[in-house]
Amino acid sequence: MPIEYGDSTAIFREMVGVDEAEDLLQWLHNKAHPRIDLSECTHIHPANLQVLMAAATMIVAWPPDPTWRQWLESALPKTRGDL
Amino acid sequence: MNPLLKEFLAESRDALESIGIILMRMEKTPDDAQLVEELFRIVHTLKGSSGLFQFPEMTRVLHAGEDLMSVLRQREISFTQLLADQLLDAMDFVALLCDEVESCGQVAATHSEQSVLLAERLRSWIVKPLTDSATNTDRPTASESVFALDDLGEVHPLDSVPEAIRSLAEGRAKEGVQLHWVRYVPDSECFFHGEDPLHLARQTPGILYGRILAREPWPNLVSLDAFRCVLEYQMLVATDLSLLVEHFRYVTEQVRVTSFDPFFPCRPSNDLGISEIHAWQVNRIPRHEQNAFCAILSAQRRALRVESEPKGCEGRLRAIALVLQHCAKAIGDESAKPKIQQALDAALVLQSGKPLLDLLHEWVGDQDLTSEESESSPESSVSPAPDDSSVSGILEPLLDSPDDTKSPVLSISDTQVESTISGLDSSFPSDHPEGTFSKSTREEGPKFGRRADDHLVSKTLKVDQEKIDRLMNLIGEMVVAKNALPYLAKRAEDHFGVRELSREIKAQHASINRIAEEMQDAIMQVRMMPVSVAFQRFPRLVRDVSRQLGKNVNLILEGEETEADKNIVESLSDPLIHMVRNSLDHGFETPEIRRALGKPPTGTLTIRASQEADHVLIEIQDDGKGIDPSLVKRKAFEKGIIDQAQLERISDREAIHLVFAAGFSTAETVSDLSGRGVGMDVVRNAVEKVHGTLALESVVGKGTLVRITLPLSMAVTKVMIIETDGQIFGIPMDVVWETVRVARDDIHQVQHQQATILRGKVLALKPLNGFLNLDAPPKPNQDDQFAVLVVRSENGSLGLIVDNFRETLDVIQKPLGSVLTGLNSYSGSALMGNGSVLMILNVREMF
Repeated sequence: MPIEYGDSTAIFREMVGVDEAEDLLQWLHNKAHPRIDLSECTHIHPANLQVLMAAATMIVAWPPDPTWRQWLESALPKTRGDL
Repeated sequence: MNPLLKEFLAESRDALESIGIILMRMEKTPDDAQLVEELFRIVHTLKGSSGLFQFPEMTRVLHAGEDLMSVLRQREISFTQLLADQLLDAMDFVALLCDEVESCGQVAATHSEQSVLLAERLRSWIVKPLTDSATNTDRPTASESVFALDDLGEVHPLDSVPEAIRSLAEGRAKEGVQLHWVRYVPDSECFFHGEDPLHLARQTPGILYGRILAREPWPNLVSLDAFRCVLEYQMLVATDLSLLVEHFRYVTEQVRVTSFDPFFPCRPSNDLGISEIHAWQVNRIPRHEQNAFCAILSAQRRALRVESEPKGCEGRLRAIALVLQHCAKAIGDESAKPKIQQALDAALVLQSGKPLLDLLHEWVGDQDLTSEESESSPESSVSPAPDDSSVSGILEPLLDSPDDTKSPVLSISDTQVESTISGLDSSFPSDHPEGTFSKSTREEGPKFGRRADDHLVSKTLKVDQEKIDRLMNLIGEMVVAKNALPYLAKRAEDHFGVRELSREIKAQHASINRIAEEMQDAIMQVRMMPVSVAFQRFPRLVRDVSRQLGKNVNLILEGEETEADKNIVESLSDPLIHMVRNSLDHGFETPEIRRALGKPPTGTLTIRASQEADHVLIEIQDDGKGIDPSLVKRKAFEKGIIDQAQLERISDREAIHLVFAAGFSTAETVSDLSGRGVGMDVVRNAVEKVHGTLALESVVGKGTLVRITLPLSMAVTKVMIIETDGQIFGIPMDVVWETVRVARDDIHQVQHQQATILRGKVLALKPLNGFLNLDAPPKPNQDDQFAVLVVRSENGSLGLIVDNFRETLDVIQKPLGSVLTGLNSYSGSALMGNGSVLMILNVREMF
């Protein structure tokens, strides 16, 4: 599974494809304080990214690749929540 | 390997094959528009798929190929053989890359040069750049018209990127690399076309910085449509424009590029106008310096607007103040000096450029203040730009909803008005004066990036061969297990005396037997493949080789629909290629010689497949010069393949078969011998490996016919069981010629060899026991007759003396594994119904 949904944190793994967007949207909608862990994520299809942006989701961990992280940080709120 | 990649490789191979076939057909019918369409579609699909992976070399060549296809189908150039040659070369290159990807998972960078070369060669066919279609080529000179230029207004792209990136960009610019600001606004429906704009953006060549912005305010989650793309991508790129053109080739109309120099304002004309600097008498300085003066002031104003980190703030403010002092001095306005100093002091206290900015406005007017206000309009606030509000100046013309706040912008300058209006057009790729494609041509043009549309529904199921093999093994086991039932029935009757049960078991066996046989047949059917699979390489091979040799050869393929087991068909392709190549090389004469001999100048090579009983017959026939038996004999003698006695005795028919002898295929022979000879023993071995036979007929001056007979399937082997020294062995039925009983008196000793006369012919005899190193002598029957099994191979006949003959049996032959692999006397083993193992003898080893 490219996205592993936990109780309040969703962990994105490797390539997250366009098909995940619907589920992600649903999940974010149902969670009061959803948190996203991107540390293992190498690519997100923009459909998912849009959902994250619209939901202004808190990102608790960023990917290690600085360039990729910079792309994501430009789109997502930079709040660094504690794990 | 990633399953997607696996799929891609399989698909690519199919596609490349189809491309080859179509190109061949096009050589015959160059005007067939359908073929061109088909070709374009395949190349396009292949290119699209290759884009999913990181194989730029592959994609580049396919791009070029696709471009070429595109002009071809628009009939701007016509199809020629040379063009076909180059396309085939390019496809071979792609095939090579596929092989490499399969073996090492990636493409070596060393191919890059070749791919560029191939792509250029293909592109050189495209005589004129297509200004009216989306397939524009990436000539640097033409690139201006490929992308719409972006009007950044007076906002310098570098102002909006983080400091570290800015200095990196400036460094690159100093090295002479051109900087571009790229804005990519994908189509809102693009996700449905299988596009991933973010991936495309991330892969931009030479990218230094990138960011993602939303084009419109986010609705609440309930009404959000995740699949409508509302993002745009902005990138700072240091690379050649041509690379950008190539990269964004499919979305050119969605991309705007501004090339700029980090050390100069991007659009001086959009900077402060001379008339705007009303407080200063700019006309005191020479006219040609006035523009520079305005540019300097504009740059200062920009610098002041950027909110810098406190660390460098003081230095920056002082520098700006100094520049302003010099400017004032240049136009002889001494009164400005204290004002500047005063503003600087205030600015230093506030750690902000505002006092200096205010002073600047005093002098140069405040039109830009209004435009600055518009920057903090609702639209721009929804874009979470990481840096500051000045970025949105770039964004502004893009925003779809017309907004009042834009009106002040309209008053700035004519050029800016133009760009703003074009930006207001909701269809982003507007009729921009600087040349993007107009809407109508876009719609008529080829639709790119629609990979999802390319898939046709297929009724065929692609199954991994391993799965079929497994089924095959299972049914084999089932056949064996089923064969145990008659033994069981026999035991029930003999040991336990229950005849009733025995009968029932037999009845059950009958029905299981029927089902198992049908099942076996069904599975074999799945494995059946038309021989056309092995044949399809030949048109290309014949074409290439004959052109290379300067010969005219017409290839005729017959019976391509004949089916055989996959393994057989696959094993066929190599020997066939060998023979076809041989025939082309040595069989056919050049057109001049053929004409002189009164033959048609174009030779005919026929490859024919047909089914005969449970065998597939493949014939390769040419009308070349044939094989000269005397020459073969002499050569074979020289090579030591035959001795003096054989040389005298051997018939012409036998002589030509000597070309299949091992050792006959030396380089010298090839060049001297005016017939076949290259590695024909390889051919023979390959055919024998699948239990096939090979025959050759040749008439000097008329041509040669090679006939290959192959079993339909290798899965089931019919064997004859023989008994010797109390053991049983299997001998494949295809080598068994007959079984005879020979009386002891009829066996004669000729030197060290036993022999008998069978129907007037001498038949050499060998006891099987001797071959198997068994000490026991052969056992005759009551009438003192020996059981002789006559076996045949291409080397002649041989009588094997055994103890007794038993029944024939269908077995599933398994190759010998591990340590037994080296035993040449056995070709394999099989399981019998009672669970015992039957060794299958390799008769060819006995000659």
